Amino acid sequence: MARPIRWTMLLCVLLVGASVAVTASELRISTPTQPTTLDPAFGIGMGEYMVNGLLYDKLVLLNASMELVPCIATSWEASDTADEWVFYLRQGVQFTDGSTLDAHDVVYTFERVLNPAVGSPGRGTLGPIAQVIADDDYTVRFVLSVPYAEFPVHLALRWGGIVPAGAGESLSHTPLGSGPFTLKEWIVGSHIRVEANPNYWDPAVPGVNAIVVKFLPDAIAEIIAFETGELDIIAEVPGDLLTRVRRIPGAQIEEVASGSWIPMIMRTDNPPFDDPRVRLAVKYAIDRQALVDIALGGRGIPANDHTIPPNNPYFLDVPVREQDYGMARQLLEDAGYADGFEMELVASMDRPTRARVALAIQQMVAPLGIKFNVTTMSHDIYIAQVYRQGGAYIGWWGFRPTADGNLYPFFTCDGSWNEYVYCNDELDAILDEARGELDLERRTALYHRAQEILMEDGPALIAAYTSWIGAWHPHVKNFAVHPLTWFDHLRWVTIEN
Amino acid sequence: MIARLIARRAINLVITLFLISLIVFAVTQLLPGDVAQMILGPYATPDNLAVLRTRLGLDRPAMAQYLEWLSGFLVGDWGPSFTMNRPTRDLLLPPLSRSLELAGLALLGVVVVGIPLGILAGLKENSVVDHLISVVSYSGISVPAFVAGSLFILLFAGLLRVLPGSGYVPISRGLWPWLRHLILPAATTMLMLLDYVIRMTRVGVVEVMKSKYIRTARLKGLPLAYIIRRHVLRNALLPTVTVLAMNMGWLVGSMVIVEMVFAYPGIGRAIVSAITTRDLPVVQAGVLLLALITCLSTLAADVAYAFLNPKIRYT
Repeated sequence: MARPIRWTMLLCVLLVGASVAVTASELRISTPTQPTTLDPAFGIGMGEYMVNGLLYDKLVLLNASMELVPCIATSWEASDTADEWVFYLRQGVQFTDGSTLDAHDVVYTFERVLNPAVGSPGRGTLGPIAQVIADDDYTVRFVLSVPYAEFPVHLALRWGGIVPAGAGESLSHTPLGSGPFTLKEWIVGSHIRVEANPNYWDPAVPGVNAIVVKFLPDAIAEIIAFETGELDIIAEVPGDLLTRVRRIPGAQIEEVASGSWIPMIMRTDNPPFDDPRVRLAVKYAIDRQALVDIALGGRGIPANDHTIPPNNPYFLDVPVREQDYGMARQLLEDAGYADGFEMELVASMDRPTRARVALAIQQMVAPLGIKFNVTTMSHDIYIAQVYRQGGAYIGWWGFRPTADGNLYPFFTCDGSWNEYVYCNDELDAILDEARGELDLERRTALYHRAQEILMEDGPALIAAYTSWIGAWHPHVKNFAVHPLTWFDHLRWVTIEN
Repeated sequence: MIARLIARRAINLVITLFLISLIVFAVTQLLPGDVAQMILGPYATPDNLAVLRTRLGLDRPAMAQYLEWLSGFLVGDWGPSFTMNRPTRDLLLPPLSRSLELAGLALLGVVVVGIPLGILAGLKENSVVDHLISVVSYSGISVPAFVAGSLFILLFAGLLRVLPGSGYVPISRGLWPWLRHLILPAATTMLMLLDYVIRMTRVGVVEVMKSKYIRTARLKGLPLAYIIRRHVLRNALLPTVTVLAMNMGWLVGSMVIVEMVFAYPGIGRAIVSAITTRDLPVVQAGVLLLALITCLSTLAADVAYAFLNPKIRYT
């Protein structure tokens, strides 16, 4: 009699122990946008970012403190002129199908993203790469078209996820990487479940056995799921729901200056914004702290009409422009708009904040006789009919990890994202020079000048940088809100019982 | 007789579906927004957009696109999704089966709860019990699903923490985890039908109870339970059963709100999300699929009615 009971008890203990162990190391996180593809060369939403960061490795990673850390590359060095960069790869790394990752896979990965026929949205974002060469099986050389001191940072971008040579379209639904997790379950419209890759090269990674990424487009549903313990981390807490999250016992909340900026685009090839004095008048009409308080619920920092936030080493530390209607009126009069003007100001509805910013601007410029008719529309219609076409609209850009990335594509005459049709030869020359300038002090001086130009002459009213708020339960360890809203660092997160 | 009925209904069904296919296609052509721009987002360059438009066949005339789509749909080739990099079928059939799971459970609940309550209300016509059932079930149908769903979430997931308020777990990961996620959405769906079924059953019972054959049975001295089981139910439930069959199709299509509230990956949510991303093949095939299901379940209800009730024969 005693023996079967003892065995049964042992079995129970084992079962309970096993189930506790399994559930204890499952991390649940949510994203409002679900992935459409798990091919790292594609995908532009948060969902793809989150999941691909778990399935793929990159040469280098950028952690939540914005430091570059080695991943597939163990070390790297630049030539004296900074136009050639050599990366030395880790040996013994395997893709999850058992094949070995070497320099040829890295070359293939980057050539694929850069190939126009592939059509990757990341093609213009990886830096001025002219050529990628495998010097031997574990050495990769990037030849750049211009010297570029900040180049390695670009390799941590989402499009730098390394895929096996020859991999193609099937990656979109059957991902194949060397990352710390492998895809176990993908229910479109519900969730993705990834489980730890047992052969991962770093035995300390990942910190949990499984991660479930839930797709919750409704912010309220997301908060309730967090409240009820169905979620461990909320990646993005909307500002207006923060007070509710604060009431959740034990919830850890972190607010980080994300550097995302919300520009009002003033398109420069048509009146009235073809005249820099009109643009400057609008900039003088704005009370920036008030705009942060009204439109962002206080969760942001005032900005000075350029795209380098205060947490960036190249930030030009001058006081934020004060509201000055006298100056604004004078500028308008000089430009021939003494009585103001009327035009449409469009805000997409993908985030309620866009419309709030538009309304705040509308009210602040009204005393000048400027009448903005604020129009809201769904995001897809905005993208198709207003983005890069409208005369005045509210944009939204995530901060990029380098100063160059935040300036060059947006404000140079041929910039790929120059939605302002802005062209200033002096700014172009400065940004070109800064790219190749290896001396930090001189490079800083150049970027300072660029910020001055944008403040006085620039085509964007940028009144604020947003904050990024994340929340997690206290049993989640090693998590921090990433200023770039990246999620590669989920691989280091652990769960404590 | 029934064969002729089915044949006639089938012809109507084909015509209906053809018209729906035309409407669906026309509407999706009129939707504002550019698919290629939606897919590539703000990072797109003009040459990327052009390549994608050609690859998706968006640069061809609408008539050619329609004919190709319709003929493809008929042979089960619904084409690739524009945005999800996989066949449209894979984006619609699994959500459909999950919606059917939810609808099936809700219908089961309606039958188990609604029919006994309807019988009770019918037997105790105009009593306090009857009025109570009537008021409560009427309140149930008057509350919109998104309100009822949110209240359920607040109560059972938020306050009591006994059931999950969102998501879906496949049955392969265990019966209980699967069922737990279904209970709240199924209960919300149930509310939409419960009052209807209670009323149908109640009216049926009231009518049958007044009939001469029931009086005869009672005068014979048969026990009441036997009379109810043997005579009342068989006659009173006929309309209820066919209404339920007919509602199956309606239900699958109208659960979209429940699916949105509970983040349940069913077909309604799949179609809504395809609309927002301009995934036209998914929208077109999805709507046509729902139309097909509605038509088929109506046909099934008609046939069942004719089959079960010898008094009614369509000529």
